[in-house]
Amino acid sequence: MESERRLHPASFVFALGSTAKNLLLPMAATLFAYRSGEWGLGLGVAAVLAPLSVIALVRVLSIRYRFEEHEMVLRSGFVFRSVRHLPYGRIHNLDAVQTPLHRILRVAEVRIETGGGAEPEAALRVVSLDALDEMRREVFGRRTAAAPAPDLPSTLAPGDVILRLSPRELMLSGFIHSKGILLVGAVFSLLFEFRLFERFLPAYLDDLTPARSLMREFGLWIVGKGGLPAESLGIVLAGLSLLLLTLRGFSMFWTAVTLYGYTLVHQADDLRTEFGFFTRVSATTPLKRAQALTVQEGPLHRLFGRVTVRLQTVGQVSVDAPERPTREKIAPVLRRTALAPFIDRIFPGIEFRDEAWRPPHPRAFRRAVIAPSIMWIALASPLIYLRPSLGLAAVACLLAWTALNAKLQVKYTGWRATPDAVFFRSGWIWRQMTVVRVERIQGVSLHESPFDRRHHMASVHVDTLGARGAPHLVRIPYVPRTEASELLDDLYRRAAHVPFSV
Amino acid sequence: MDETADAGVRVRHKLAPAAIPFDRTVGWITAVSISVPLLLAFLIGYWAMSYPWWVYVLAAVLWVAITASLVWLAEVWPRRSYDATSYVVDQVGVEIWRGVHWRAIIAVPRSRVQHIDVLQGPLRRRFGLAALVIFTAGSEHSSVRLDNLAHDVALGLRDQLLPQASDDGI
Repeated sequence: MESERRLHPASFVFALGSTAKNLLLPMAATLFAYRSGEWGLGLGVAAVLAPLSVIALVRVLSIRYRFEEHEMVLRSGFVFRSVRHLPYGRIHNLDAVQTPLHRILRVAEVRIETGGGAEPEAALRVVSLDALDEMRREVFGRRTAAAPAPDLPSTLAPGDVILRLSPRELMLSGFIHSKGILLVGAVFSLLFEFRLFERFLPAYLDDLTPARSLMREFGLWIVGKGGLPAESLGIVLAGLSLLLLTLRGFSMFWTAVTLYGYTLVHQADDLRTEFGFFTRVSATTPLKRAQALTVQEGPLHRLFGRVTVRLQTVGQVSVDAPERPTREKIAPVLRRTALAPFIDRIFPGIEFRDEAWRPPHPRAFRRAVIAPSIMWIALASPLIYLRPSLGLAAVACLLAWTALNAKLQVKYTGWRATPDAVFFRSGWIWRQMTVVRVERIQGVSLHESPFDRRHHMASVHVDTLGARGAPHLVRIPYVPRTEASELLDDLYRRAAHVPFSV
Repeated sequence: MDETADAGVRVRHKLAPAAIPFDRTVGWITAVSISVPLLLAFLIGYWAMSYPWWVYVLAAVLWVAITASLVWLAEVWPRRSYDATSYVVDQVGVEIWRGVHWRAIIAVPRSRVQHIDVLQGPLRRRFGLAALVIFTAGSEHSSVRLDNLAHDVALGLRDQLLPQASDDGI
């Protein structure tokens, strides 16, 4: 029976901090209420919340843990005690987060997640760095030969560095992905609400009112009752461009700061990522738990010759909270030429080649083009009625676009099955390719709608663990029927041969 | 690659024949419980309110259409559904064919079966049927359902498919 460990003494400070955060809103409400004379309610709320917060504080401080042979045992609480057993086999992720304060005090907040939950199963605020290392060793069952250097906040023991992103690469990533859109949107709407725009803009523009009634004027023009509001349209377009540029600029800055020093290390059986300038995050994922790998390439990616690689791991999939480690994107940006060796390091032995894709059924174009065309014609019919020339021109453009879209979409859809994995790619503007190893296949299914049947096609779906919310699912459309049956049978039998182990 | 050696030709099983009367019964219950309240609403609307005559005609036509579809679903559909559903259980795993117009074949390897439920409501008990639900670790097919097997067949399949040695850690 191992001895029990307690949290680092600094936990008190951090727990107090988070409690204070919880009390802040009621306190502010109390203050406002007091000023307006209704302080009884506010005080009542604070009076209820204060002891609850104290209880939470005490509970946090009472956490003790120890490492048994097959599991980690967590105990908490003095009056209401709780004991939680976390078998090592079920711990999927063990992440460490460090804000600047954590780094000064040389501690870290640990989050342990077991399969499938959205909340961390255990959050230990805070443990010392040595304790963190010990936890990693115990949980992932290895003894690291080299002791971590005591003065470094990171416990990055030697391993294979697969990827390291310079600030320039990070800014590129920020430009490609547009992060922080919520924040900028919030700022903009605040400015709008408090009419701050009107304080600044009159210096540049005479009168804002034309822009305000833009939608109405535009509608009138369509119906034929007014002139085209060119000036207001110009203002709005200029405003939108400015907004987009601001967004991208902000995103570049944001990414450079939050992902600062991004390093991806392959260490024994884990993938370890470390990043962050102010808040330092260290996330560990055992490779065994990787279910699928997706490579994404949008138009901006192509402009710079980069791709993004995401790993779909068990459990947590893309619930977006700012302080969670971004487990999914293991390579926010990566040179396209470096893609094959990168995948080889993650999934050794998978022959990844962006070629020899099996194409969809020859009649796939027909199917891809019919439904959208009908929809566009139906939607545009009121326009044709109101303004025939404009309407017909619009329909012609839309149909041409639909045909082009269908053609390219079909061209860029493909799949391939190797002895170890199945590959699927789709999309021509936003290209995505997913690799699923045979041992991660949970089930295969073949789907045939009446339209499929008419053209002798079917879709083949490959099911993996934790695919809900994944960016790209392996659902292969327009597969010729005989090929589909063969693929189904092939994957089904191969998956049956390979045991599934987490 | 030897697993078909002992099986020879794979036998595709159908659901229990009692599935058809069961589905018919359920269909009729559904039809009545939707159609009668609608009829009542229509009658109340006719006597209590005063709408123009064409509203009543429209409502009557709608009611007839809805009732006709429900009756068709109750009488004709169970047979079609029964004919379209079949399954194979062998050493490799379980494969299920289903769907009349939107068809699907769902294949779950034996080693990916997590656990199995056998469900039986009061009506199914009366017909001697049970539903077999196979849980996997997948997302799209986290549970695969085979409705309306004979109760003892369902139990037999469950015993056959349950993982023998638990060699996976999830």
